[in-house]
Amino acid sequence: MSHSYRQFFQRTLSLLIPILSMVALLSAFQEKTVDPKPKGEDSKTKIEDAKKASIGGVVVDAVTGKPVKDTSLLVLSPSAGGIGGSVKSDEEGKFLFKNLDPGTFVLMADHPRYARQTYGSRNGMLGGTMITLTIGQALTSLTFKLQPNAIASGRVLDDDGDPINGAMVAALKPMYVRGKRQFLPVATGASNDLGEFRIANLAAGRYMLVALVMNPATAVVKTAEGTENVYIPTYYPNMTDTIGAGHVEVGAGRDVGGLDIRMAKNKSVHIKGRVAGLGENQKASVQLVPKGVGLLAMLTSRSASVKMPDGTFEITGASAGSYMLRAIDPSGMMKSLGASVPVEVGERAIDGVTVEVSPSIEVSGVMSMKGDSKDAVKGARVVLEAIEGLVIQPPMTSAAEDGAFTIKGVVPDKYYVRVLGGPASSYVDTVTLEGQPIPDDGLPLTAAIAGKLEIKLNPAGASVDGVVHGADDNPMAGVTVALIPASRKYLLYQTTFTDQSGAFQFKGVTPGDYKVISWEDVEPNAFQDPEFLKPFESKGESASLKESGHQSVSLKAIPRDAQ
Amino acid sequence: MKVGHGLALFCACFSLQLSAQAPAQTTSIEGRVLNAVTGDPVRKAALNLYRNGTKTTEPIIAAPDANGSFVFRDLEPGDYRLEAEGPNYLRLHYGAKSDDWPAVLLRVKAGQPLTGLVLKLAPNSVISGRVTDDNGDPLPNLLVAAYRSAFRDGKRSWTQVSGVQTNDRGEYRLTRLRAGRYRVAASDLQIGIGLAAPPTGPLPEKPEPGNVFTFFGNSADPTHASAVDIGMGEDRRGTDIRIVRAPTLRIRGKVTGAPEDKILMAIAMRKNSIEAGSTGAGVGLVQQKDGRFEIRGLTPGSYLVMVRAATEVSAASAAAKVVELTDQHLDNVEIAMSPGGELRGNFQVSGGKISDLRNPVVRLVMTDYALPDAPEGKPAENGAFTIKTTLAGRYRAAVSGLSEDAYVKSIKLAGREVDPDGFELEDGAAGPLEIAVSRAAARISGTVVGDDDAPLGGAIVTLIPVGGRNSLARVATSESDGAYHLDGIAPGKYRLFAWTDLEGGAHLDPEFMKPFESKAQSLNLEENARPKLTVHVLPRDKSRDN
Repeated sequence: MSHSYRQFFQRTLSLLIPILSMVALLSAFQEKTVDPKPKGEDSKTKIEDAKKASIGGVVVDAVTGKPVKDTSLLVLSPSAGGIGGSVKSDEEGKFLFKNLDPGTFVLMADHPRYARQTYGSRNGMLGGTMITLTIGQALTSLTFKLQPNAIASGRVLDDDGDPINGAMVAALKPMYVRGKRQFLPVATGASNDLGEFRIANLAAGRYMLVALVMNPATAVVKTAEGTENVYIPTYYPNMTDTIGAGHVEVGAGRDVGGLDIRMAKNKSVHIKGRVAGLGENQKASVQLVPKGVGLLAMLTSRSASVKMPDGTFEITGASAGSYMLRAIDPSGMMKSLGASVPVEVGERAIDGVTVEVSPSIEVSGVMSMKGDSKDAVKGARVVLEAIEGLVIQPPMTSAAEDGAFTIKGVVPDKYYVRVLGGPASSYVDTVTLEGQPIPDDGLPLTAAIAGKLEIKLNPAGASVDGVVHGADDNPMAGVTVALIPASRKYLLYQTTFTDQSGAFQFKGVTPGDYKVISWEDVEPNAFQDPEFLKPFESKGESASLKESGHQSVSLKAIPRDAQ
Repeated sequence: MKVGHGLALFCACFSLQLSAQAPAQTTSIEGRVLNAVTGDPVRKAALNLYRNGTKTTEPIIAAPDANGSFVFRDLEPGDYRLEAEGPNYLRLHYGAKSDDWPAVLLRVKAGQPLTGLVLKLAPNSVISGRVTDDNGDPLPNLLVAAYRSAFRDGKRSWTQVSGVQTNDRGEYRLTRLRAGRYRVAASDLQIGIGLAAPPTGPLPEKPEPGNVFTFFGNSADPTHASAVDIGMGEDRRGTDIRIVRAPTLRIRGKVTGAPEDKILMAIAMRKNSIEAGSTGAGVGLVQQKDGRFEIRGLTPGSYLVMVRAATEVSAASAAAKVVELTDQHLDNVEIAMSPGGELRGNFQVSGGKISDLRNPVVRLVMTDYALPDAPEGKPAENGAFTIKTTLAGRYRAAVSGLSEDAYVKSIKLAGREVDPDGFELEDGAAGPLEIAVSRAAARISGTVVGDDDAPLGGAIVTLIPVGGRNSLARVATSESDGAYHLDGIAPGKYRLFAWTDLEGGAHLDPEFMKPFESKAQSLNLEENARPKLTVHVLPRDKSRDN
């Protein structure tokens, strides 16, 4: 009986995870473009109903133009703290979100027969038009054109050509994290007893496919000789690495079938050990994270639960390679409980690995405005962004009225200190720890840290705005605009998407020299990679910004085929 | 807890020493694994061998070669049970009539290898089909479940055994089924991005039309459900369901005291019913900002609304509340996530100590709802244990890991004796839960004989308490020479039966058992009784014919 509950639970969860990661992704880059609440008003005070804005329109099939009923629409609004609401389109395909606080919004649609997509996006889920609404504005004539599902289907087979039941197949899209190209799972399907899988809800485009078996009971195969083999992540058609893996091109409304993936198997061993330092009744799991796979670690890690009260664990299905082993909180979005331990897996079983759980650090500090600015820092969030590794929910907190903040449960690591949602025109002037500026390449936090973090915001941020035009000189909505610092300092990069009239705006920019470049469609954050950027540097506009400086630029979007 | 751990280590060392002193001569078990339908060798399977009477629960594992042949080498002499499973085959308990019954004991002696075992694995049966709406359009992302007619807690009911999601064409395949009679039902959990949205605006005034739980046979009414009978290894295609539209309701509420760093889901579980077991009926995400949630698409009935971390299957951090939905949407359901109540307990072994037992564990199983796991407590050396509980409700106390000579004498909650098979646990109950175990259990051994009075292997032996609790019943499978053993028996009146075949759980159904009562051997067992009894098998079980 509990078995059926588990299935139910895991199925709802498998859907939730991509949505949550999308929400996290979107909120990260939208923050700065949002107008602040009117000054002097408590953020909890509701704007009068008459001043509320609304978004509405009609959902239609992009091919036939016919209205689509029963589409779930979700409005994301970072200014209101994430998800603004959800409605369904009616019999005539109409939808309406009322009572929105003015700000910037992203609209998403979900219908079983159409690609899951963001309004105005060039490639489905990623990016899209930033819909800006002013006080009292009713933007109720949007036409949301839904692209019919593109479908990738095929079979997952073992090395005898027999079907593998219960494998997961994920469609991957490239994106860049801190200048490194990685792959993000955007949609998944599961193989049935015939090995058949179908990944629907895809937007037309190019994908890589990876098949993996997450359940250790299915992934590990015993041999008659008494050894164990494990199915390892296999990229379509039969590669064990992203390099050289094939791409699959799917068109809207088309089912690309026959994508058979023959899964590779490697000899595998068990890793036994102990997690030291857990509290009584503290729940923990251990996770063996392959090195160098980036975001895919979400799917390709092997984990095991930690047995209490002695803290022992046994991971099965570890194949040769380099890994980091860490203890995580199983209920906390894979949050680390301590430092990771490097593990080299070879031919032999490993015993006696100790993973230390570190008492989590409390990082406290104070945020203030430089000079005599009256702008309130209340509600601005301090985020500790780990320099390496996979974190779904980074440690963060909001500053109180007096600017004080405390981030609890921080694991020793090296972090960037990022401020989100501060007064719109402000930038981070200095971040110091006990009077010492923190290094550009991150703040190493250890249990020994005693001092207070001091964040000074400068109200005299610069701004850049403009309009992006296409080759036909018409304004382009929903295209990427990047603000690239000449210093190449990671925290100074900003990115946004143009709104319904092709306009964009960067506020609270740290004074300095920048390039502003627009792409019609680009792999997210690709411009953080100097190699990628090189051929495009001449295509943008330069901005040399002083304190409180402002510059308007007119951009031509770099067309898709120029990349 | 720490003490308990030390104890386990101590015992492990102790048993290790014992084995070191045992005769060095080892033995082996050999056999073949075949497809029960075609007789072909099965290559992709795992064989799990469990040693009887030891503290470890981990099996010894072997795999067949290309001819389906397997061998367990270097075994210590002793008693073992053998089980097999494969990706395309049902689990097999070697020597038992079905996996409802224990595998037969294999007694392996030093220098006398056991050879020639043949394990016939039943290939999975499959039910497949399509789910559509009124227009015949496919409905993707619906949950389709198979319910098998089976005995549950002494009653014949429909129990969920498999569940899958429809694909973009509305197609589903329910696999890993055994031959038998099923009902199939589809439900719309509204799995989509709307799941993540906060409740906005006022609740609608009236119920709203929606897709409701629909059985194969296109009816929401279980009495109009069509049964599906499938044979071994059969793939029954075309089991199509047209979903029924009916008024649906919402539940809205708020979670208080939620941990900040967790993403929580609210799940509505339907109460256990004869028709469909206990199933998930709806989900909603809890808003991190203010703790509000909304679950849509429900029909009237009793629900357990459970709040839990979205990334964790275990119920450890859950909180829940039972609500009744009548004909209106429900608002303001408040669910408090507390750090969790703690039920203290005490485990006493009369005439012995905790370390005399194998690996004692007390589990509290909620009887009205199928939760993913049951909170449990392991007694320390002095017998003390604690069980983390958060949910008030009706429970059954399952005590396992006793030794062959031990039985549960009584269970008391806060000083009052309770029925271990069903008692109410109130919100914040602190206990103590006192479990008294005696090491004066009765044991029965003997031989099962057939109609011709010859010893009969593979028979099912059931010992049923007269007017007593289900948890006192004992079952065994007779060995090849007809020998059987029942142990850990509480003193009292019993009836002893042997069957050539019997559907799993049927022996606990008083209705089913009534006609057979007169044919049983009646026993009145005292503590430490050790009767040797010959049992005649009953005529074939007729229960499978309905």
